[in-house]
Amino acid sequence: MPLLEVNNLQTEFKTPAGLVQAVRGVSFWVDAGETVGVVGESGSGKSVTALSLMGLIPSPPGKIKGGSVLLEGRELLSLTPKEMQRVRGSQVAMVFQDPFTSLNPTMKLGEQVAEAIRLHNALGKAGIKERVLSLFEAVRLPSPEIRYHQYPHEISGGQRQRVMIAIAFACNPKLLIADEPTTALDVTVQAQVLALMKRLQAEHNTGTLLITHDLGVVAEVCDRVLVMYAGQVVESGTVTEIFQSPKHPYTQGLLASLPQIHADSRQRLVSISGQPPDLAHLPKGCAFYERCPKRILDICSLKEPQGTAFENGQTVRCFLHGS
Amino acid sequence: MTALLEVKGLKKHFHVARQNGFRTVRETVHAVDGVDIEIGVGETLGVVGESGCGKSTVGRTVLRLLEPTAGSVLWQGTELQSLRGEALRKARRDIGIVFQDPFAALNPRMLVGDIITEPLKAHGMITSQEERQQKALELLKRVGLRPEFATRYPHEFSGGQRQRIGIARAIATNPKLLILDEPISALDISIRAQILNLLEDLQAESGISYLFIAHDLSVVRHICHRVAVMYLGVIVEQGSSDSLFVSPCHPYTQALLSAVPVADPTARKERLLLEGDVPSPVHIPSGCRFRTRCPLAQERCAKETPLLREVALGHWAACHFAEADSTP
Ligand SMILES: Nc1ncnc2c1ncn2[C@@H]1O[C@H](COP(=O)(O)OP(=O)(O)OP(=O)(O)O)[C@@H](O)[C@H]1O
Ligand SMILES: Nc1ncnc2c1ncn2[C@@H]1O[C@H](COP(=O)(O)OP(=O)(O)OP(=O)(O)O)[C@@H](O)[C@H]1O
Ligand SMILES: [Mg+2]
Ligand SMILES: [Mg+2]
Repeated sequence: MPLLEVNNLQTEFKTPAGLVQAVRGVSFWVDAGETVGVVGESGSGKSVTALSLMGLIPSPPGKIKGGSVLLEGRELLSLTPKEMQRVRGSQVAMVFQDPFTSLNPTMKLGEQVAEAIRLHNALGKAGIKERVLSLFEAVRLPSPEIRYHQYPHEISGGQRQRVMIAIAFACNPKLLIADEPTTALDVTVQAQVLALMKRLQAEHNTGTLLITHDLGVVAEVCDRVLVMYAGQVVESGTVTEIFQSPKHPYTQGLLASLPQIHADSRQRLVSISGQPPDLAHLPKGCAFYERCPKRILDICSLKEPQGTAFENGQTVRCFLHGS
Repeated sequence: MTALLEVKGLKKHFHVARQNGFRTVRETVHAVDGVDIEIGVGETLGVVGESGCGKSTVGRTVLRLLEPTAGSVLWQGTELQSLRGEALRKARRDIGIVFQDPFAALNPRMLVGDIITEPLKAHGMITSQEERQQKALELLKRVGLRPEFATRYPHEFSGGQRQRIGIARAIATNPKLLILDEPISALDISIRAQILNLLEDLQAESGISYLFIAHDLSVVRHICHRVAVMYLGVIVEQGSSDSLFVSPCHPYTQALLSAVPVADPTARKERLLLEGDVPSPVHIPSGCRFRTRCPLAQERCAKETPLLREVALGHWAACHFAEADSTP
């Protein structure tokens, strides 16, 4: 049994412009100890997928319309808010993109981590402080004793991100959901944070869902990858399959548009022209039709591709590869 | 041949006041602390380095959006600060800037056509309304946008389109140099390629020069002819893009390159991880600024400040131990 199994998840938002179908039938799984990457255009539903799993979709306007989310076989979508809160932070933790808005600006860093521990642990006061300091050490926050009494604005962006990770790991989660955890950081700090996440993950056999737009990060740390476009997973496979034999024209375009640091020549980059469709007024056929360089006129604009699974486990939603 | 832009010994210090208990402490931020750069006609110089190392401050001081604390900026051989009247106005026309955030940089209450022709009006380069409209259409065409966009407002456009609008405005006066401060970091991957291609096309057409500030090293590798690596307000290594990326000499550049995740799962590697954080630009370490994080640091590094020396033709590094053929 996988650690997390998501089937046909559908999430929508009621807006003045119409019903936004942000997540349209997403299915995937995460095993213990593995890292699954989620990539895709801005607005393709990556964060909404993550928030749906965490039970954090604001409602209204949002609503999970259907599907199932099984954590170790237990259905999360039918839990009460109170039960869900217990799952969050004890079994599932999330690192948000912006560490500044997700830390409490008026609370000392040490106390924020202590609170996360207290929620799920019956340690005494001294025990909790000791645990906070050892977490600060684990995330390599310099001078933990001093940090304990500091406020978020008194430390750097990279250090705040490390405090967020300390909070996420405070309860030894089984599943970690990280939404762009390194986007705000520059490369050297990013490398530190990724190395740290990997180490903690290996120690606790945590399964990780990593959302990022940095394909370099994906290639570096993920085992499997989901490529999202307009609310659907349009391709999935192991990291090697996705990078070496991408099947969906969107994935192919994405990879071709990356400048290569090791390339000798300054080749012209391939770009995907156009924009993704309006999720409140989706076209009838394939959502990538308008921008697709390989579209088949009479098929792709009329029907939605349902998805094909290859023998090696790679899946793709495209008429070039079955139905 | 004189360079288009030559910056010598540029320094920019900020004086800040900090509350420490009941005392007010005055401190000096050494944002840029002695930088020399040169850009030729039709050339792209990249400036890279960690957040806070002074990249944007260099760009802003060159543009005179900030007064330098020391140093000189020569524009086509003449000290920019000594220019007056018509000569100064001409220099202002000749240097443009594109900012990082395509969402914040455009006035939401102006039509796109007016936004992009605003600099022409400010410099008295257009006389009639018809001419302005004509120019707007020309500019939109040059950056690959549709003419009817002229009569719309910025919020109706995507990030990539807004960045094109920003570029259209910046090239309106036909500048010779464009300062691009992280022009694509706010954009989606698939849109980044469009903008990079556009910049390359414009350069091929008009021979414009770019000062390209970024922290995405693969983008810099792709678009820049030469690269300067900054650390805590100084340049620690400078050279042609090929030479610097293939054989980086400074331990900081080596760490920076090693930290870049490469989009190729078969190339996973052991990283050269830098320990610790960038020191505060208020309390700069003695000697070599990088020594507090440098894996090679020795006693000498705390005492002697390493100067830039030429380690290979046109490739300079500021490290006591830098060798031309050292590989990362
Ligand atoms: N609270 C909300 N109300 C209405 N629409 C929403 C809301 N939250 C998200 N959406 C819409 O859902 C879609 C998916 O958004 P989501 O945040 O998941 O994108 P994403 O893939 O995470 O993009 P990014 O890479 O920019 O973070 C978008 O079209 C967005 O506008
Ligand atoms: N107006 C100011 N007053 C005081 N300090 C400033 C000011 N502007 C910049 N600084 C400081 O100067 C240093 C250099 O800042 P700068 O914006 O040039 O960095 P940068 O290299 O562009 O960083 P980033 O990659 O984050 O944009 C930083 O320590 C910054 O805090
Ligand atoms: Mg998101
Ligand atoms: Mg900057």
